[in-house]
Amino acid sequence: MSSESNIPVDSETQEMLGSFVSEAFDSLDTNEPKVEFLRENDNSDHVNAIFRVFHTLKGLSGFFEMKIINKVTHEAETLLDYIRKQNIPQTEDTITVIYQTFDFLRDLLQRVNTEHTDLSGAEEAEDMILIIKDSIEKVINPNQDINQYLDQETVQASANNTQEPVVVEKPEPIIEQKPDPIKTPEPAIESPSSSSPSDNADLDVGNLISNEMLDQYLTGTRDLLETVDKNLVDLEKDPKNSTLIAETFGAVHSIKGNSGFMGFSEIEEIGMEMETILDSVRTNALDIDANIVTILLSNTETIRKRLDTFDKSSNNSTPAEDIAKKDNEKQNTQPIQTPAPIEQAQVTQKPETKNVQPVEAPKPEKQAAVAQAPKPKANVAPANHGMTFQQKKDIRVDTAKIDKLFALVGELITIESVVSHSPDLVGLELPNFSKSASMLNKISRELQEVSMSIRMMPLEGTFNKMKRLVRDVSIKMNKKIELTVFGQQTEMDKNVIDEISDPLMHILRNSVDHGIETPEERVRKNKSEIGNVILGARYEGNEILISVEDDGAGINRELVLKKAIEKGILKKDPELMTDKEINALIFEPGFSTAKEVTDISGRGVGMDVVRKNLEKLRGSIDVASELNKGTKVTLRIPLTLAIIESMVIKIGNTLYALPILSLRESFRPKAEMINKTMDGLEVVKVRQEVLPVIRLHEEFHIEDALTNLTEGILLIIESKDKKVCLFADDIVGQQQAVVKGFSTYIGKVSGITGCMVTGDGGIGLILDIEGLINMAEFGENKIKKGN
Amino acid sequence: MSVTDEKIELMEEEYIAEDTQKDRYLSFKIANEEYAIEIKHIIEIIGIQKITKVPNIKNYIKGIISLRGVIIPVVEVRTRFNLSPIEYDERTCIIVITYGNSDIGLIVDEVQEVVTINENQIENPPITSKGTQGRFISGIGKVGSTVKLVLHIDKLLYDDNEMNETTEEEN
Repeated sequence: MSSESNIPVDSETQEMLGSFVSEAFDSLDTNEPKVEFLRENDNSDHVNAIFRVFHTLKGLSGFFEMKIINKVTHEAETLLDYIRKQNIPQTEDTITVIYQTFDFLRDLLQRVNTEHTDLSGAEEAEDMILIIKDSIEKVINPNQDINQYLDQETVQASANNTQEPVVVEKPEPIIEQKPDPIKTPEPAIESPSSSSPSDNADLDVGNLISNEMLDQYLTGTRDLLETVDKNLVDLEKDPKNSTLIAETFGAVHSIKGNSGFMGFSEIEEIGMEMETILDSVRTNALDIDANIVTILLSNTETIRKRLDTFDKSSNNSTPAEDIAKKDNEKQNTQPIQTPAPIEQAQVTQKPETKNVQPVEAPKPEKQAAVAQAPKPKANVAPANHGMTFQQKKDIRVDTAKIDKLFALVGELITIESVVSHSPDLVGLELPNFSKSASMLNKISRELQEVSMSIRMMPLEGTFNKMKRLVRDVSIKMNKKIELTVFGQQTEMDKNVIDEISDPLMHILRNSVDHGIETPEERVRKNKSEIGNVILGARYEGNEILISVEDDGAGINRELVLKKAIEKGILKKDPELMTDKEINALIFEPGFSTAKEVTDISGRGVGMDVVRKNLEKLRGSIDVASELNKGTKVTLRIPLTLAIIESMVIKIGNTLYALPILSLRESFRPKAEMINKTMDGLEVVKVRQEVLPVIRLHEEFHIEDALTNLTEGILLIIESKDKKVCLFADDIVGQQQAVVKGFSTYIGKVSGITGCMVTGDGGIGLILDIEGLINMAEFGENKIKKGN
Repeated sequence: MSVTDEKIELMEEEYIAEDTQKDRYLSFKIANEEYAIEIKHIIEIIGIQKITKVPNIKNYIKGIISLRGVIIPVVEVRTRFNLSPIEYDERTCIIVITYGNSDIGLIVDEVQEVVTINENQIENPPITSKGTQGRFISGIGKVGSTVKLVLHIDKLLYDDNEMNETTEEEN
């Protein structure tokens, strides 16, 4: 396919198209076998099924403005309509034509998949349409004896078709796909069957959003609303609690995003208003008070009411899109009730109780809308939705339960190891026991893997949110941006995914807002007008790398330095700073180089949040940037917070563990390998390398540990191409460690990321490799500076 | 969502607990002084066990223990009170409490009994209570002829601000 025929589409449309294509393929594949039955006598079920395939495709293609598919399916639908009315066995010719149509539609869909349009199939489509029309004639003519009424109709319909070369104009690409006046036959032939297609056009669009999705959306949103409500109430008592504010903001943001995706624009709008208010709160532009809480609570109530109506209507088996339509229609006629915070703040009096605040959601109207929803065409409607959807067999489980399960499995693993290595067994010959023990070991490992996988989820959902975000922001900023996404199937621990959503959002916002230049500027810089942002994920060892790359302006070293000096956050002589260190400055709290604060970013809160969130995940962040070429931000996140393969070492009486992935080698040093630099830094020479030694017992103030390097053991660890030696008493052994965080009561401990239960039921502390290496670096610098 | 559920559950539990555990206190001894904490905070009492030291943390947090796989930090109340440490013996106990979102162990010299102290039997502590531990006391409860010092758990766990001792007491 030549690249010029590719229509650039935004990522969201692309995603929608993708699901359209795959569903269409699905529907063609499942129904193709039914064509065979057309030669049989009692074929009406099958004819109806095939009719619906074309009909659905027609509706969807109209919605997506796929004119060629629309034309072809329209024609095929007509053919099937006649066949349907006859209800007699069909000839081989007709069946061949239907098969041909199936194939041709597949071809067109393939084009849509790669080119995002079906226009390149226009010529072939003309031929196809002729074939189908021919077939229509044949269906009609050999059966002269059909009743008068039908005959009349066919003549008129086919006349209609020939006069107008089926130019299907779709002026409005809106969801409410009204019956097309051009292609719909004249009122004279208003037989029930011919009117049904257009009647149900919008019904078919509903297939895009399955009832299952609606269900998920409803439960999800309700959960989020609960969180918001609860937090708001808490915030009233504790207005400065930034965690609560952030959590609330996040929840509202999710509600907004999800509703937008589902097409419930009214809820989205309410969410947006709430988000704006909360954003002002977040950035301290607005202080939370009772009034604001009241407004926000009344908003959540409105959303909840709205959700309830969806619920009812979905019980009435109204497809989701229909509801969405209703929602959108209403939005047009009904101004939503979230005015600017200040105005309403003055009006509202009762702060605390959310129920007191009257909810202005126009109830009666809504119910009227729902009442109209049931479709008169019972014979088409029920079969229509859900047809192309396979029931996904998943259940929603409270994450707390999974966490509990996980904790128990962790304990099982531990106790299994305790039992198998019980000191009581030493020296005993127990063949049967050993056999059972190894079986137990195998099963428990497997159990662990399975329970791990329960929590693993593809990044897709998060990435989809990001697509939307980029789209929204780019529109807001008047920038042209093409977002490329890869690796959305990469699976991660659910808890981790939840945590990276926010940082990713900030990074992407930054890319779009600060990174990518305006189209004019890009042209001036000899770049393509359309900025590229690449969001991707991939595995690397025990980590996942998520990268956001843009081809925008890059980080301006001078500007960053200038700002840093202005804000007084520069701790070092700028001359001595590496690019990396300068780039790291953007993560300092309160740092922003944006010339002006936009409503999207520039307040300087973003990146510092990013860093904090990542630290929480034991992840790290890396920024590479070249002026005017672009910026690449890479997040490294451990696959799961839960389990690492570890090497357990002993220092004094305390057990420590380090991730085996960062361990390069271990050895007992000889005296001649150890040196002291002139600044008193202890180093050890390993082959050609000279590595600094970190005495863990000093770092951690362990009194009963070995102090003579030659008596203990040195472990070379590496992180990000930097190596250091750790000094420990001895190696205990390798163990799968179920990582547990310290209690929040203890907080962050320097040099240690968490703890684990060791094979004997004791506790081992897990070393923070990167932290230790940084410490070593810092030590070096200190010494250098001291000179 | 699950967090909220959990919180709601917790709140409910607390609500029920409050009803049956109202005015009930566990009393224990430190350096021959009798203290009491509200029973609703207590999960269980365990004997002293091996404590894994965690470096570079506050001196009164002695380290962590593993209680059936759950990692719990332990606070030595003696150290917290600026009293000299003693050897742990068979009477030394760890009272595991839940406070806020954390489970925390308190190392005490000796656990005594569960007592009922009615609200009206608790007096405010004297403003100029002697010793460092004064600021961790929320009231003085009378049980028969004895007096138990009711601990202010929040301050015991979190208040590291020794300077504001008096002003805070006044509040």
